[in-house]
Amino acid sequence: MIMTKQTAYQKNICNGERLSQLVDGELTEAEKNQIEYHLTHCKNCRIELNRIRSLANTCQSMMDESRFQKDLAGLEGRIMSRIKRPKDWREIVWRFIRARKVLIPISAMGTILAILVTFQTFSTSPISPSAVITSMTGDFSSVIIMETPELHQTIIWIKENT
Amino acid sequence: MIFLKILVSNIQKHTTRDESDFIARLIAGDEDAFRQLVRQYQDRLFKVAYGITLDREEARDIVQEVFLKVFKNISRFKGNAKLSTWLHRITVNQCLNWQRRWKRRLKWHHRPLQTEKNIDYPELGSTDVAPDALYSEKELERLFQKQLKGLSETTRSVYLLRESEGLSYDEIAEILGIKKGTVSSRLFNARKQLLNGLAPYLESREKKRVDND
Repeated sequence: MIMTKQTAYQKNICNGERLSQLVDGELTEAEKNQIEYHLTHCKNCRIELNRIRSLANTCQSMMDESRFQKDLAGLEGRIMSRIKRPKDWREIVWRFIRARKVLIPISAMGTILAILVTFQTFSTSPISPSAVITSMTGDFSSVIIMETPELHQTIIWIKENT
Repeated sequence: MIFLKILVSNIQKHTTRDESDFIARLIAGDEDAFRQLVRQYQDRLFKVAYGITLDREEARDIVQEVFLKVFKNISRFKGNAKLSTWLHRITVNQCLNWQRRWKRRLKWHHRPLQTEKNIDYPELGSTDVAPDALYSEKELERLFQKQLKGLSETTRSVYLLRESEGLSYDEIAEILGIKKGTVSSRLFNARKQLLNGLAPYLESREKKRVDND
């Protein structure tokens, strides 16, 4: 297949990366001239170039500093207060306690302790007899021994003769 | 011409000397110098952080952490690179930190409407621009932000450093620790992906313009 001079040229130069480099001013003078010549002949590349520039404008407008003034208010003060050197030992201790590497383990230990204490306090103790009767004397007319169905507590009901 | 070259070289020498003096003050713990540093760079670093995270609150936290890191580690700054390059590098690394990345993904997943909320639509009648054009620009911005989220964070970082900060390929390569060729290909890929995503919108807008003309 015989390729005309222009199509061969187009095949070599229709290159999105080159267009990208042209927009960014990263081409040599010779490369720039070459692609600019190509642009006079290639409508698709002209459209793509315009779109790349349009996106760049959109991006710059989105990142316009005036939009971030509210976000930056007070930031300088906050940073400076955190880097200020402590004046006395109490501040040094307070800062040490507030530091994340100290605060996190202390909080974790505190939480574990609180859980353990709560568990100990509110846990139900195993069922045990309220009184252990080893022997009894007296005059009984009847004795009933019962056991509750779920808790299996033993109830001894005694009828004493008066 | 020679005079101009001498002038430029003298300015560069002065700038370098000024910067090393400034760094010496920072290393010495001079609070005024640090305040000056914060004032000079907070806007730029915020823009970089916001560009990568697309979250104002997080960008603010990142900038704060970056300055605290700089304050702690300024003595480690060797002066091989420019101070601004070093600050940008710390900011980008802080943004790409994996814990943050996961948090962000989770946040984006749960807050799909944040994009619209963050775009400031000006009040009607407050500008000379025709409402149609204004709406069209804002719509493009909204869609653009959505597409930007779809880029990988490394690609987005390259794109933002170029478009928002106007840095050269060499500077971006130095900040990210990658080759200049990689910067070029990532930028090309970022643009291609963005253009593909926005193609239907851009085409219809271009068609409308042609019809109006």
